[in-house]
Amino acid sequence: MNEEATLLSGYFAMGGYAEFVWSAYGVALLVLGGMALTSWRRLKAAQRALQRLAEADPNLGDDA
Amino acid sequence: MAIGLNLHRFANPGRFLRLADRLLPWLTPASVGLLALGLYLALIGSPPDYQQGETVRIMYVHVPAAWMAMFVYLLLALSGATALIWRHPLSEVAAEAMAPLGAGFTFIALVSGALWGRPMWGAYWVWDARLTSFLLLFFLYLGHIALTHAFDDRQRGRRSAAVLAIVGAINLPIIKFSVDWWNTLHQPASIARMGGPAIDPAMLWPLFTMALGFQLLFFVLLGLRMKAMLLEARHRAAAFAR
Repeated sequence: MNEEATLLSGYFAMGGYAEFVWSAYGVALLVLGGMALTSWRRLKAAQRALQRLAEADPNLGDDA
Repeated sequence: MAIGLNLHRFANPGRFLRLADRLLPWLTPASVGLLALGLYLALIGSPPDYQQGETVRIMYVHVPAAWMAMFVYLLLALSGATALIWRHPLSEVAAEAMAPLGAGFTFIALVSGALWGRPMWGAYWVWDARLTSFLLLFFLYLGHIALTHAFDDRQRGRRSAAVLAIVGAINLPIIKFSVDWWNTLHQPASIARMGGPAIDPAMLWPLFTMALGFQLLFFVLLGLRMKAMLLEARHRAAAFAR
C-alpha cells in the first residue's frame, strides 16, 4: 500500500473504534436526513393539493 | 386584554406563513453550512481525547442531539400550556409539528450514547438515572404523538397531548440533575457547570458549531412542517366549502 492509502485507512479506522464512531454519525445522518426529507415532501404535497383545488375552482383564489 | 389581542395577531396563520417564507431562505443555508463546518471540525479539525481516543468524536452528535431533545421538549410543554390557556391555534400546530422532531433528536442521543457507552463503559446500556430518565423522555414524545392522533376529534387529541407534555416536563429537571442527585455511570455536566466548561476549546468549538447547526435545522424543519400543516388545514376547509 502506498503512503496515502495507509493514512486514509488509518483515519477511517478511528483508532480501532471505527464501528462505534461511524455508526453514531450514520444514525444521526439517517434520522436528520429522514426528518428533513419527510418534512419537505409533506409541504410539497400540501402545496400541490392546494394548487389542484385552485385550478379546479378559480374562485377559491390562491393565497397559498 | 392587550396581551390577548397581541397574541392573536400572531395566531393568524397568514402572518406566520409570511414570516416563515421570509426566514426559511436564510435559515436553511445557514443550518446546512453550520452542519457542514461542524462535521469537518468534529471529524477532521479536532484532536482525539487523551483518555477516550477517537470515540470522543461521538460527543459532537451525542451532546447536541441530547440538548435538542430537551430544548424541544421544553418548547413542547410551553406550546401545550399556551394552547390550553390561551386557546392559541398556532401553538397546537407547533406542538404537533415539533413532537416527531423531538423524538428524532432523542433517538439520536440514545443510540449515539449506547455506541459511546460500549467502548468506554463496556456496556451499550445501563439503568442509571440519566439513561433511564432520557429513555422516559423518548416515551413521552411517542405518547404525545400517539395521543395527538388517538381521537377522531382532532381538538381532543391535541388537548390531551398538551396535558401530557405539561405533566411530563417534570422529567426535564430530573434529566438535568440526575448526574448530581444520583451516582450515575454517565458523567456529570462539563459545559454548564460552576467555574466554566471543563473541555478544551479545540473540542468546544466543534461542539458549539454542531449544536447551533442542530438548532437551526430544527427551526427550519419546524417551519416546513407547520407550513405544511397550515396548508393542509386550508385545503380541508376549501375542499369542505365546495
